[in-house]
Amino acid sequence: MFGFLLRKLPSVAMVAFISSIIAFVLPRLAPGDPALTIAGSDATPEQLAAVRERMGLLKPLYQQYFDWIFGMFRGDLGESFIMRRPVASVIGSRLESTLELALLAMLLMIIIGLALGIAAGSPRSKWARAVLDAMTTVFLATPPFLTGLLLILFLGIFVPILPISGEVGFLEDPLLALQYLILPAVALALPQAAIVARLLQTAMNSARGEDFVDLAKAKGVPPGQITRRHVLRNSLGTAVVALGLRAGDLLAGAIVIEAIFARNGLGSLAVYSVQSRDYVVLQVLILGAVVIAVFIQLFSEIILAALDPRIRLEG
Amino acid sequence: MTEISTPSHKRSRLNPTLARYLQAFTTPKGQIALALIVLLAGVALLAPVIYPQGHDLQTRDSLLPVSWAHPFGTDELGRDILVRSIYGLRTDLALASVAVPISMILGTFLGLSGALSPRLGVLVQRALDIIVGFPGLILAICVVLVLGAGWTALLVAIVVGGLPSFGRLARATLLSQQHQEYVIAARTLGVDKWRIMVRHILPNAIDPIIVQGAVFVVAAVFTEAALSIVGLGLQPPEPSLGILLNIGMRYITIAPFYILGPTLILLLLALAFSLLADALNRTVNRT
Amino acid sequence: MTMSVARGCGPFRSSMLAAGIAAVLLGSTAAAWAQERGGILTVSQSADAQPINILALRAGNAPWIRNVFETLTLVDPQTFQPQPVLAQSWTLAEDGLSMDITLRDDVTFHTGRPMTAEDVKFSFETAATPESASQVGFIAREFESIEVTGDHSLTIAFKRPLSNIFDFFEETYIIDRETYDQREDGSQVVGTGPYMFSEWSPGASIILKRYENYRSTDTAWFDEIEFAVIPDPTASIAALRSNRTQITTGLTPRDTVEFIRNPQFSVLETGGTIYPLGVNVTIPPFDDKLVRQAIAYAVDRDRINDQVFLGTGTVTDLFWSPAAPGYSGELANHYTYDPDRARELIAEAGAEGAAIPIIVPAIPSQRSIFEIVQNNLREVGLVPEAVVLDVADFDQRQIAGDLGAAFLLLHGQVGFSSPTLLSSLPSLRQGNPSAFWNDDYVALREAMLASATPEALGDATAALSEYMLDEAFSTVLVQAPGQAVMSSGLQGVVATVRGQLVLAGSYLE
Repeated sequence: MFGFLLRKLPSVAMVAFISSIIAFVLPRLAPGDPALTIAGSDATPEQLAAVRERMGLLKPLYQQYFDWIFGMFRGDLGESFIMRRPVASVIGSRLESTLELALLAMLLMIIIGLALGIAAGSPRSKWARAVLDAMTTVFLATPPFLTGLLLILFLGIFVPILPISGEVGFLEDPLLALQYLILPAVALALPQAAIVARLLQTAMNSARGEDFVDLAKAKGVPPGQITRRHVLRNSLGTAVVALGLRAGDLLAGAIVIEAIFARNGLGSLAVYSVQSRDYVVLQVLILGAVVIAVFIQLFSEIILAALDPRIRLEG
Repeated sequence: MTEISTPSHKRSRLNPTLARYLQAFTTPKGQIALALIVLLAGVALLAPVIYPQGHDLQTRDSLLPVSWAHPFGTDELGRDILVRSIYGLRTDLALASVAVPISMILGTFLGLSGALSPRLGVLVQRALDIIVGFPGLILAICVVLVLGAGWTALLVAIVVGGLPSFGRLARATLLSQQHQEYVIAARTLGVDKWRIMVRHILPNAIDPIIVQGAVFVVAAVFTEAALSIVGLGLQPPEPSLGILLNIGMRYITIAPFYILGPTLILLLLALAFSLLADALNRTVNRT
Repeated sequence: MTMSVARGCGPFRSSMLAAGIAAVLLGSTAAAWAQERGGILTVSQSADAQPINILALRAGNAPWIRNVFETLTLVDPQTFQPQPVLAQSWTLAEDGLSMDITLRDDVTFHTGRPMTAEDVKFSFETAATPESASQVGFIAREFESIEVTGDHSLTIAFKRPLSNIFDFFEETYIIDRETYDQREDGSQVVGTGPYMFSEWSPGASIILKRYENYRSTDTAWFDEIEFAVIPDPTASIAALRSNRTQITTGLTPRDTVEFIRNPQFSVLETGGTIYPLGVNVTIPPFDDKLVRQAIAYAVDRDRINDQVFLGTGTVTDLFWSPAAPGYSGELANHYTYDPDRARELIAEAGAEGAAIPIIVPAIPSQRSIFEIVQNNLREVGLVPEAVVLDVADFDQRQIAGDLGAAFLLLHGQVGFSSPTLLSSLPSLRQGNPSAFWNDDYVALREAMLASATPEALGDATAALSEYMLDEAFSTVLVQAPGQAVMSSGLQGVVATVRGQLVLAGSYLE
């Protein structure tokens, strides 16, 4: 595996390099620039030109790019055009909100996913099975923003028991923070939990067909114990892998969930950076996300190869 | 599937494939999916017949509450929200029915491109990795900004967003098939690479891709909705489900039924295509 | 229509507001309020602060900036007369070409350094530079010279009489020349006001702390004022309801409607925005004046005001404030909703069925306005299409004056005097996106800029208004106020004519 990773290194570096170019160029292709956010819509052309000059936007593009790249090697991610702060501190200040959301969502995903999966993978009556199956199907089908809207409508408006928008820092007031977190976290977690449940159910069903289960049955072990001791233990591996892979999706879903629930996290920072053309913040966010995604991808290739010997790891 | 088929076999092979997919509609899930899709698509197609006055009939009755005349009330410009939701569904289905097949075909081809040259395959795979890595909506937003908000930009954003999932499925098939004896045999026999790709690898990839296609319909609508939330969706007065959600969110405390209509329609749509994907998945895996 | 005008005057007249301002300005009269010091006030605002822009009015600065910075004078929202703040007195020369200003001698910056005439000079000169992006910077470029005549006195010489000099004073904060360079990241935002800028967390909050060495002790009752950045209106309303915040700014009338009759809250008007529909007079069919006039008749302004602004706006055809000299109901209602007349004019011009692309910024209120305009124009036989632009893209093209055939604009400049609006509004200034600039227009503008008395200004404004209405290159649809909602326990909150919040005199009952 280390050999595989070593062989992958050049290609990962290549992806990072190309992404850095795309992350640098793509936002700059959009009409407008950060000087507009500073100069304002009422500015005169002379004022706009003066602001542009001052902000260093008239520097040649390649120079801006190399300044950024070499800065990164020194651990300097650059400075936000709009906020005039180091990008690292801008991102750092928004990280807490997104992390809290993602962590709670992951926790819910594990609990709901395992509960649903185990319930569906154990012997049940036909009816219970149908209900469980319907639940997973509905959860699986509904994208987080839709779940979010329904939760807002039913638990925030029709029966107003939870706040629907805004946030409170967890360190500030944990109980209140939890109230604000619960709806978005559930919305984010449900579809992912359904995927985990599905995988676990499938794994348990196939484990149930193994010889050692038949043997246990023949020895007269009670069905509950068979499920716990034998079937579940041999299926959890798959579930753990699935959970790990789903964590990446949680972050991606956060952008829209943050917009719907008016949370001030990395997703809303990204959207704001696009709107204000704060290229430096945006390019760091994009590059960071691509690099994380590439590593998750590598990880999944390794896992898949371990599961299916027909797939060969290519360099 | 392993023999190299001649044109005369083509017809006889295609039909059973189609029949196999149609079998999905014999399962209970498939039947529910079919009923929902027929209902939604039917209403969307017939919207101009059911509501000939169109979706932009403005009146002075802003934000009326729920009534028989207006089952979901009226919007800020006095237009019936149910009518607008149905026209919105029409917009979204039209968008999905163009964008999903394009993304599917393009993505599959990109995924299989490794059959032409392993190096190209790796290159494409890395390119798709970059697309996957773009944080959620940002790629779509950038595409819309560069192309200018509107139908075309939305279409491109959805197509590009779907490429990686189709590409990955196709590539997974390619990786598992390219070392099979029949492919190696065909290659040693000097069969054209394009031919190997289309005749041998593609048929093995098609099942998961069709299933993914059904799943992707929901993702396409989701992209539209999300872009509308950022204000970069379709042009007014054309309603779309996303635009209705976006504007409705602002009236959520005064007129909660504003977003309930489009939300329920979206839910039915998501459910329909997810059930369809399920049914298809089960059918193709059984055979 | 007459009704809407009568109602329309409301937003710009508020006696409570004026009394509050006077109290703050005169300082000592506030002694009647025996206030206790202490506590934290929390205000929510929809846009983030921009400490880089001290001299240009920005939505994200309007709520806090007047508590940290002060100006020479402040216009009374009722009488429109300038009241002294940092200036003690001023004398305009007989020929109107120079002004002697005497400053207060007890003003200090938050660094402890006394403010002198040099600081005023520095502030004015900075405002004149283009990179300050000051909306009133063009007035300072009409200064011949600024001469410091003593520690607390200076003389400004003008190139020509400047009737809008108090607009310049109103918007030009006196900045500390020693720290101005370090303001951009919010580390050194130094003014002379009753509160000090203490901390800025970009995208989250701005915290002000009381300036203990302020020249008056009868002010700044709160120890601290926090401005929370909450872009989402639903979230900021929720914060207000749960008393996490006591004032919410940056709301639309749709958001505030539920508070209007609620005794637990009160609504304060903060500045305002002018919403015009402009056309480019060089692009067919708008090169024909009849088509331009037809459009002005075709649009149902009352419906826009009722459905988009819930009747809070002023339905008018003019850019000027209803309190401005020369503003009259007759001119303001020159065009009323008359689709038949519009159809006739279009038929006369032979423009039936003309396709009209209209550029609209991706802002919710603009989208709603567009939908009504589109509906109205279809009714009279035109074919309008929306071209929705992202705000940055839109701003860029507005600045360049390149917005195509037709466009919906918004100018948050309510509160400026008419001569200032003439030069500061992108719709009216030279290089406007209507490409409207000719000798008649220039002559009428010059007459207005040169008027030295209110009477002369009134006559010149009326003459220019008549000409502009006839040419119909940019048709005002509505002027709508900004709104802040606050819990009714909070007293003494004041908004300036331009919409900044003055919180020095505010306290909780």
